[in-house]
Amino acid sequence: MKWETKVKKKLIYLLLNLLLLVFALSVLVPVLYMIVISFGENVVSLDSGILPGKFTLKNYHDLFTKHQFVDWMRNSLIISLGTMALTTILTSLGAYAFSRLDFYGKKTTFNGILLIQIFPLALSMVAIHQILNALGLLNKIISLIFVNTVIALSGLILLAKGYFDTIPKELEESAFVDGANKAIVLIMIIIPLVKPMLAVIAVQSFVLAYNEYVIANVVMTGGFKSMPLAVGLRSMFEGQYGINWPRYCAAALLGSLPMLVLFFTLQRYFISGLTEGSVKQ
Amino acid sequence: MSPSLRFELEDVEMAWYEWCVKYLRETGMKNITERRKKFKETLKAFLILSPAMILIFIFYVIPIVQNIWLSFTNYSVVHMYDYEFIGFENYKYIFSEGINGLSRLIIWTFIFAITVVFAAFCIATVLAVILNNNNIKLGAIYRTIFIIPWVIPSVITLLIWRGLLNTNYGFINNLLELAGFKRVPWLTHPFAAKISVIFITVWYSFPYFMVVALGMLQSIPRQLYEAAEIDGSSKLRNFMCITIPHLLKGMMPTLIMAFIMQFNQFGIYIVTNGGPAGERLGDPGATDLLLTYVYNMAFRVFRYDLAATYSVIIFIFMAIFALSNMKISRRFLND
Repeated sequence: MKWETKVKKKLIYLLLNLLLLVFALSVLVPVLYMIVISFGENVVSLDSGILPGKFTLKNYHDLFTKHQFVDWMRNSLIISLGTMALTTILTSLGAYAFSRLDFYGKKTTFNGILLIQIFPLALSMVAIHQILNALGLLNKIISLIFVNTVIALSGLILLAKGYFDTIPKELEESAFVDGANKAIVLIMIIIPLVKPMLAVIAVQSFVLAYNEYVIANVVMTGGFKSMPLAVGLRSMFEGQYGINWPRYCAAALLGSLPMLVLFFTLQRYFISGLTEGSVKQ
Repeated sequence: MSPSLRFELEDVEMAWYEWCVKYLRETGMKNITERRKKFKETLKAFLILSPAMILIFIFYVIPIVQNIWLSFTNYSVVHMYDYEFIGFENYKYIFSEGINGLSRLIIWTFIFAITVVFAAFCIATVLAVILNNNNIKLGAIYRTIFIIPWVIPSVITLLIWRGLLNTNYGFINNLLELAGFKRVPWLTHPFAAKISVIFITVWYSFPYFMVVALGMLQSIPRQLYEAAEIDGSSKLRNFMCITIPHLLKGMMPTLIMAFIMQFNQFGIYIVTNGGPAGERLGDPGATDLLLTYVYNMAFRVFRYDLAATYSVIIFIFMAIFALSNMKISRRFLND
């Protein structure tokens, strides 16, 4: 190879790496900054410049004593886990029906469920507030579980139906021929096959419920104790004396933990669910 | 009659006969037991679907109907319990006095959604193509780093950026000052706020596109590149003529879905409250998107009726968009 092309190649390689580095820094700096500040000592950081000062755990201590952080976290986890359970059950039932049964009105029902993705529920927030009030569900965690499930259902049923379609029907039929009953087919054949799909549904519905803000903000009006994490964290910005920035950073770090843990343990489901969903949509 | 027209008529006739034959085959020849089986399966299916459908009915259908009804009433903080039907008054008000605000709102929402999706897609494509290259060292580490913004809960991301971009104590401005620049009012100047809001949304939404794009890249058959190379095509040409078309075609549904999601974005409310505020109470703020404006209308101005009316208008918009989108995506999918 001529040395000119060699140099050119090296240069391009260097340039690409530089580009990656710049992007990586722009992603990492805010995150690292948040972590560093959360262990720093300065109180309001108005005139503190950039560095955080001495190492301390005071911010975390304050978070637990001066805010209802534990309550927020508990509410959010209950909502997310509840949504996850309900969505997983309803989605797999729905996907089974749409994939395996041939029934009147199948197409209409399916398209109707897909419409939810296009017309977001959050638009009718005034009406939702009114209706939940009438049902006596205002300020109840169960109402958020229901609402989040409805939001999660539409996209996930589409995804799950696509997955069910790829499992050959003959597999079940041959088991029936061999004398297995329905329960055995379900437990021994279908569930092991759709396990990756169930994981995707569970993860995605958890994330959706954990992130949901609008409706939670409208529905949970009963003071700090009943807020889920997203609403609670924002309330930290609207205090009487302004935001205590290091304390917020501590809360942000702790609040990200459940999703970080979930992601890095189930990374492969996150990604496979995504790519499959996008291919099949 | 010209020959070409006659030919077309024959064509249509043939298609009609074919369709009739197909229809008769499908319906007429179906026997009774088959129909009974389908009826049974219908019962079973709706039994299975009933819990989901009940939930959807209570928490999705009823709110929408109620929302449409509210848009024809004068439900507000003044008429909390004694609101009544007032016909099209709200619509009249919005399309006369509020028309400036509404059109500005819709234009900005469009610009916001398109810019965010386009920028995120471009960044994601560039990163995915680089990372897909085997020569890059540390590829796996970079991949993990780039996924981080997507894994942090979005509310937390948004609030962190709200702090970082604060004019008085924000990290970015502290850095700028240290480097000898003036402090920039990132979130309080109308134009700067718009730029910041777009930047923040791109920051946390590009990883999603990147992951999808990486999956797409790996599904492009290798033989295509090999064949092109034998024909003497350059790397750049390969990229433009093989990679980009494949990515675009594969990601079109994702992009359309993302556009709809950004069109209904609420996140920026967490950063700016939709502000910097407009001149009068009830005017849209500089960064107000449709959804945040509806929220502000309802829970800051307390005009529930107007909020409901705005959301009905958005519903109609989305319906038009969805219909045209269905045609577009069908064309894309069927080629």
